[in-house]
Amino acid sequence: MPEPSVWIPLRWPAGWRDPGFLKLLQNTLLNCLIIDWNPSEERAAFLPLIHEARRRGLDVIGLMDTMDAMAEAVAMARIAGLATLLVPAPVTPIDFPVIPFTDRSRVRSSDSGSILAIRGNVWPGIRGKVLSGGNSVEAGPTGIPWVDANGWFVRIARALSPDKIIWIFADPPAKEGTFTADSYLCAIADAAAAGGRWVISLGAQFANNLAAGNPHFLQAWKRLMGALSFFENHKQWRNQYKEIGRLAVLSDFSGANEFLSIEVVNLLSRRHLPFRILDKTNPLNASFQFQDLQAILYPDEEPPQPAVRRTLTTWIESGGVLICPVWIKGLGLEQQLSGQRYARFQVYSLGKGRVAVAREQETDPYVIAADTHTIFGRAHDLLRAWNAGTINSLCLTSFKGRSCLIQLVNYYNQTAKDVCLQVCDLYRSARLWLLEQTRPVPLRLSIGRGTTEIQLPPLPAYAAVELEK
Amino acid sequence: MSGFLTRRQLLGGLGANILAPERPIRVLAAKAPTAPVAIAKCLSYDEVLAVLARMFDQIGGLGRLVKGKIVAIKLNLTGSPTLRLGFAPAGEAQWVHPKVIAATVHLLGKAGAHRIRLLESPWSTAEPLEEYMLAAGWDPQLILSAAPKVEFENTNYLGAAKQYSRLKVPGGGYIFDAFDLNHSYEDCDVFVSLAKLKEHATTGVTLSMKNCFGITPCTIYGEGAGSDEPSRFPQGGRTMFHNGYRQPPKSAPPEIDPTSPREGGYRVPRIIVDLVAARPIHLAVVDGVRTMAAGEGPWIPGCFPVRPNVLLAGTNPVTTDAVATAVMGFDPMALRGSPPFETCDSTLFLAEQRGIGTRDLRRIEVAGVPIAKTRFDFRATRRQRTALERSRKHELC
Repeated sequence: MPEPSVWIPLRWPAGWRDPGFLKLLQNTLLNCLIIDWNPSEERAAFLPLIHEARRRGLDVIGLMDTMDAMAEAVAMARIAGLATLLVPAPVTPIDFPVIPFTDRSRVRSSDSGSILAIRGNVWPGIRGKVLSGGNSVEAGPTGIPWVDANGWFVRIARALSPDKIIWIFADPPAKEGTFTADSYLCAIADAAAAGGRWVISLGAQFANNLAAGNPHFLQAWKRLMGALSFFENHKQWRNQYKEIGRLAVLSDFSGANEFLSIEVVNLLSRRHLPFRILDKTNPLNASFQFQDLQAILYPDEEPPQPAVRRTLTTWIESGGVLICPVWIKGLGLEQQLSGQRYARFQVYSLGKGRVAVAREQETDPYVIAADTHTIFGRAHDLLRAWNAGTINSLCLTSFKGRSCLIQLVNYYNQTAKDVCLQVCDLYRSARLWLLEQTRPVPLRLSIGRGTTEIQLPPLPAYAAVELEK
Repeated sequence: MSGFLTRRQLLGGLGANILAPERPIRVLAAKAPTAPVAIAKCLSYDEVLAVLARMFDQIGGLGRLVKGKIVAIKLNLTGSPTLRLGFAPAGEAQWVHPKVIAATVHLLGKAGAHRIRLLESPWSTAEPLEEYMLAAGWDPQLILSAAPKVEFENTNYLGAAKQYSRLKVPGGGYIFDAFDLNHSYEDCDVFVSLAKLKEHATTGVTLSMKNCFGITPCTIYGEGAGSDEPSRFPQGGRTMFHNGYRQPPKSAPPEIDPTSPREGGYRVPRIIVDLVAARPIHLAVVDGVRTMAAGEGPWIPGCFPVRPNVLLAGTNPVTTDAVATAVMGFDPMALRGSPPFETCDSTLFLAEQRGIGTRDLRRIEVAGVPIAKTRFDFRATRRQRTALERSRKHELC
């Protein structure tokens, strides 16, 4: 049986009682089934399936919607040979392994297990009707489409729980409409690019057609399994590359700070602006590696703990820029007004650095994200993207800085056309990885003054550009 | 033609079938002033500085216009900086090219301009213009260093001023009698419109006069404007100008007649003329070296990049735009119903009626290369492209 750390789960469709459906998992990487584990009669109906799954070397997890009749559920789980139970909330220790769900609105988990199972997520995609070119939408304050995504949230979860495996639970919308496999590929890529895992969950239309052997859906299923293989085959990217960014968001991402801090991360992710996420409560971060940062957004109202505050002050004095949507009480900053002027922010000098404070407490995360980019200064952009309104990007760099990986997730269920990237560094070669190609395709580079520009072919749900110096 | 027409008569003359309340509009077509327009072929943006220097000399030189003066330049940076038409950078499609801006700034500085202020009201943002340009991949330093005392100002909101400047339309306007604008449009001695040679979905063409649509702050004329006071920061576009679905905040001058037609093709050309009358243009420069056809920005379906390789400059925006319209293959004397004004009234005609300038090519002196030798027929190019795409599709089938 596989270890929990290598589980690749499938949320088993509720209507699939016949063990024969397990043949769909042959020659795939799926090694773990998540089965509804609610009323006792339902549980009994799944027993033959569970038995066959275990015989085939698969682990089976029971998913409980409520904590009612917990003892009975655990007893049956033992009889059925379940590996663990997914439960709605933390439970007092019992002699059976459980994974408590963490709600997206309560991202900080106190559970000691290796898996952080997050629910309350969104189905990735574009909200509203996309207009021609895929870069604008009928409604929305930004002029570019509103994207529902989980990837940015995976990044926060990983920052707060660096040792955990992040599972994202998100079901397809009940009204699936015109089926597109790309929508599922996007769900896989959205989480995987950020280092998490979307727990594959099939909509009723997909599950029924797959069960009926519809060739169109069998082909789509093959594509999904191909995408899983792609990310498994590129797991080494996580070891070869680290997240890049001269900007960081520093917060505890919880309590009163939760909404603003996490929504700012969501909206910064829409700007193709590489940034890092730092947990201010992590004791390791008391010695924050701020050296390679140029700006820090601190969206929290209360000041950081003394150790972090001291590091922060030293960093500002040596040239850093701290951006505060709210004045941080007691930060002990010398209030010397700088000549710099921004519409919503007042800038103070501190040593060689600056502190930008909102003139009036700013609570709109869109405005904070936009102003942060302005104060950080686009002259420091590491990446610029054109015609990429339906795309989120994640930039990684090799530890020696010789290569760079830009992952692109397209949230529109059509290819993104005429996407152009400008990386603010010089590179010698670039290649494009696509989910359904085993080998990368070389890309032509256009070298500018300290920049490398790349014109991309039409992009499906996911692509990665790997650049070498 | 001179005298007075009622608005109803004027509308009849334009072919509009909408009855509007009467308001006398003075018609001064025959007396509308004229001024020479320079046209030059320009095959590459690397040649722009030399070409523009020659053109400015051909229209009488910049020194007499700008020496010791504060010059404000309205740029055309329409739409989001993250949009490109295909892979064409903004400066080669929807925006005036940075080298045209830098060359103009350099020549203005050389001619003795005391201070040069570059202005634009960029889409839905109060960020500094430099940041907006960086987002498009431009280096604003190239422009800032082109002459002494050059600065940018985002005019989409109040900016650094204490209050908005109220600029009145002399003799009254078509739609508005006055506008509340960022101070930069009042605090200048010379006003330059630096535009792009393009077609436009609402107004047929967009040239030096249409460029002034963007001098209006969206804090007052945008979707997010307050109902009593301007909003603090701009949000959205200027839909109220297009369809009149709402009025500006009570603090700003209201529309003259809120019952007038709510149609973009009627309203936008008139508002443009009102703006140009309120904020007169002293120098019009139109960049048609590389641009786009079939629309004003990448968001217009079916538009595509083109290379007319032409620059135009003049001291009267109507004469300059009339010549530019002719260079684009259109008749500047055309009225509503004829290209390029199929669905709108002619801004040129309305501006001429207002007495801003003549659109009659017979009354306009063209310096440099004749119109016929620089003509780049936008519609013919569009037809050729459509035919080519059709034949490609047939081949694929």
